[in-house]
Amino acid sequence: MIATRWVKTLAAAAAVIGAFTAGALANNVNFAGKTVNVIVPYTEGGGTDLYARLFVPYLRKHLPGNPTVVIRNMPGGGSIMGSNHFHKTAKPDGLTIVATSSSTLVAQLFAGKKREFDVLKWRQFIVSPQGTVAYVTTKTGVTGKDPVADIQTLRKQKLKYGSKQPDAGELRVILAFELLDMNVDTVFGLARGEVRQAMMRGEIELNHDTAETYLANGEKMHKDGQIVPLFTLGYPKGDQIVRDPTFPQLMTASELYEKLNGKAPSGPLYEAYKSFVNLGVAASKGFALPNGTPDEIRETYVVAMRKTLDDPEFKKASGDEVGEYPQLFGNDADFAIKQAVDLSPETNKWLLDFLSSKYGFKP
Amino acid sequence: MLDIILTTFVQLLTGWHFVYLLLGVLLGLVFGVLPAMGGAAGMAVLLPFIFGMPPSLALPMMIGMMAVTPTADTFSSVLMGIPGGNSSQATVLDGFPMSKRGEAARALSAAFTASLVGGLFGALILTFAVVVAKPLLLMIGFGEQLLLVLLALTMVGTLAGPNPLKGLATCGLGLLAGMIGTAPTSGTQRLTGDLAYLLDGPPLPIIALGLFAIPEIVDLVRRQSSISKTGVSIGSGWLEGMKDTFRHWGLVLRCSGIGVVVGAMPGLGGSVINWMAYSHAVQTAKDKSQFGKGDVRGVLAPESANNAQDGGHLIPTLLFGIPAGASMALLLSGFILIGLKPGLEMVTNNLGLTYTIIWSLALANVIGAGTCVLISQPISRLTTVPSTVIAPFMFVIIFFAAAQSTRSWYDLIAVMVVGALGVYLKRFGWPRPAFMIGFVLSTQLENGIYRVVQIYQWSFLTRPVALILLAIVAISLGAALWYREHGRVLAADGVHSHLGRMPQVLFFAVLFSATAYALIQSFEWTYAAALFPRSVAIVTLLLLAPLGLVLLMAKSPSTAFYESEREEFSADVEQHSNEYFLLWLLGYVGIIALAGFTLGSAVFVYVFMWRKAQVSPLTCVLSAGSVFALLAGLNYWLGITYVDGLLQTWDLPWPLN
Repeated sequence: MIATRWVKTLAAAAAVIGAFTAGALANNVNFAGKTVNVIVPYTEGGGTDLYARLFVPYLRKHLPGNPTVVIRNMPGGGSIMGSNHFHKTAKPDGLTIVATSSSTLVAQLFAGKKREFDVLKWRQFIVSPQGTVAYVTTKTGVTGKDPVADIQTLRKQKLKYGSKQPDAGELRVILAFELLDMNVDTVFGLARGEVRQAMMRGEIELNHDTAETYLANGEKMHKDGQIVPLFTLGYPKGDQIVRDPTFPQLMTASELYEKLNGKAPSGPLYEAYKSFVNLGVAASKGFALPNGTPDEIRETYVVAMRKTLDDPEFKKASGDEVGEYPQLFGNDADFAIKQAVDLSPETNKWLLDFLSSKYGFKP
Repeated sequence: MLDIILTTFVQLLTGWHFVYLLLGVLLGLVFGVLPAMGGAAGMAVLLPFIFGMPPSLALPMMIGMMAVTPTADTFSSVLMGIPGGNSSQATVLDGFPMSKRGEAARALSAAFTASLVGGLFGALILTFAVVVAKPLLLMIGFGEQLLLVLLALTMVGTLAGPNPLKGLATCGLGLLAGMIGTAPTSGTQRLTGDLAYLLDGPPLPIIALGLFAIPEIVDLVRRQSSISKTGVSIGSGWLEGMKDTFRHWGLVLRCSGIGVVVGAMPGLGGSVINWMAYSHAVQTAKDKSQFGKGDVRGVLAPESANNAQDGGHLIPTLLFGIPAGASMALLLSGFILIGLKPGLEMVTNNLGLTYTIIWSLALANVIGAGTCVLISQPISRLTTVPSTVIAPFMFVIIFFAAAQSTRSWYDLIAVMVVGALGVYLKRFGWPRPAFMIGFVLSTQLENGIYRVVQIYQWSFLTRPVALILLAIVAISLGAALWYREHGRVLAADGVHSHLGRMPQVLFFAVLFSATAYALIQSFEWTYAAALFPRSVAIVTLLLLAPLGLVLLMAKSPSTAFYESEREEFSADVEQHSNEYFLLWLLGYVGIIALAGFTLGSAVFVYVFMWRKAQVSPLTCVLSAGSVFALLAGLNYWLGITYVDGLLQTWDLPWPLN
């Protein structure tokens, strides 16, 4: 107990020193009279676009020299077009940044030669985690009182779940069902809202939402007795997965696995699952600078982001968009990206075999 | 409930509420007039301003903006033949021919009055629907959605033109084009040619611009006349247009109904509704001969439907928090930013705000349509300007609109390729609306079939709504078969002549090989990804084969033949071909590659006017300058960005960068 408190103090001190040196480093950077381009590789109105638009006014306010900040939407190819453009043309001068999201990371894993970018070379300065909650209709007979018993009830049934396509960030939930040995048939070509509507009509039993959407829609359906939340995907901490801070009362999928099987999960399926939790939860959305950007420029952005997150105006405007999750900056953000896409060869092989045998997917 | 309805109305008319509504309407008009920039783009511009604004001010602004874009995008559809947005593609079919006949003002005011009726109808239905629609909407499952797609598809029958084989085959080609991209069931990449650009499929605006706008404008410059062939003043046509709306009030109301109902249902996007309304107008008309040549009913139908559909879209958005399209998704995020949670609470706790939305929708439609009618007469004069003067601007608008899809070079190349396809489809009489309907329904049809098989097999066909829809599909199919034109005598030297068939045979060979190529490619895909494209390709080839035989063997005129070059061109027609002007466009792309879009467009306008329009050098310079200033201004005020050329590899000052 004392030891942990000591660690916390040390960490706090380190953070203060870190912030101080960062401030000193960033002193030389000034964007006065310049224009910062924010490349958003998605169309107007998508989740990542909204995330970027939320930050833009505050970047102008908190970046030194108050540069003009403009959004350039460059949709196409599930974020590959815009990301390629960024990778090929952005100069490491801090005047071009890119909004990243789990689809970009999925493209990193599966897009083959269409991908001309490498997120591992980018200098991520923030990622904003966003939790994932999986839930099921009460028509399946689950009660929500005992999650382990609920999974056992569900294992006896053939269930349907809806998703956009096999090679998407939603694979994280499919992998969780797989981990829990549930018999799930996925209906493809569906957006989350469509699945929720289909659930209300009784056509689909399983769905998931991000924490933000779940709080807006799922909570009410839960209270009305239409659905029961099954588990969260948890929240990655270093190499571990801990409970989602927004839903501390809900078990994670890996906890459920342990309860059901009497041992901690391991093996390539679990490794692939963990990478997808990092990809879809920890690195859900974020911003990066191009390859070769000097440390002081990145620190400038980190400082601007920290100031933004402390800005009372921003707090009011962002609402649930940023949520209760600790934001990851600089090296921590890079680490989350690495955990998500830097797979070991055997995990990578397992994942591709899984996709090709189950859905006929070939990259 | 009634008192809430009234108090919200009074509140909306007082003070800042009304000012914000007007601001929204103004912005909506600007974004509506700019082709391919619709409600979604306008909403994206609005969002940063509404952070923390009280809902009673933010809602009128957002709804005002959204409500009038489908009204204002009629301008480019009617006056220039450039589809103004995804929800007003069908307006081009009769709106532009009316302009050519010198009835631009009539077409516009008919369109705006119909829009007004549609918008008000939508608001009216929404008033009641928010209270009662939920159980009804929950009856529309995946099976019913599939039947809706099939219903929309059967409407192709009425748009297939004089030769059913040709019409259905064109629809098959559209379905195939719609399958380009990532197959949802397996992630297989179909016909993408390893281009990241095609992973999501060819963008819809590119297809619409290429198929409809480019061929019309090429045709226009070849004819060397003004858009309005009669050249006469447009006079008091606008009163006539209003009368048209009331003369055909039944049609306008029915199409408004289609807009609301189909807009509220899940499964069919906004880009299909205007086609359904148009087909409905054709199906129910006694005299169909004028459709496609400037029948005012062809304008009234899509325009009333596309304004009514906003009211329809709002129903699931408010009730379930499930957006129907990109602009509704942005509206939803706007709701969240001002602290509103869509869902049943909108009808229970926030009923006042819900009626603010409805009244804003109604008022915005009145103000928007009124403004548009007022400016329609002066703007209609554009159609009396010689085509060689106005054409370069129209080409700039097309390229501007095309590049809004992904803001990349591929957009310009894609619109050129589709434009060339469109020019030949038009020349050889392959019905472009059929292609378009196939294209927009393709994904929904394929996904729909898979879903239904996965969830129901065929048991859904016994559900009540499904049975009703099935009956409507049958009626629609029957109508398509019944109302065929019969026994028309084809002139030996008319457009259907069998003489000089070589170009047609060659184009046929291109289409046939493209379909065969898709079929061959499909054997490299997984079974799930290949099943649907393979079936469509085989059916299309079966439809094409007999057509090919006629094209090769026939010794007399047939509807299989079509050659618009046989149409009478006026005496002063320039001798240049389609290909000549396609080369001009290629030159335009070349200049953009060198100098970037802003400067490249100015250069193109200058050169085109100098070489083709025989106007004074001063006019050329002024025109080029105004294009440059306008594009730079749009960048400055609305943050619209353009594609770069070689010149932009250097650091240049604004607006050249």
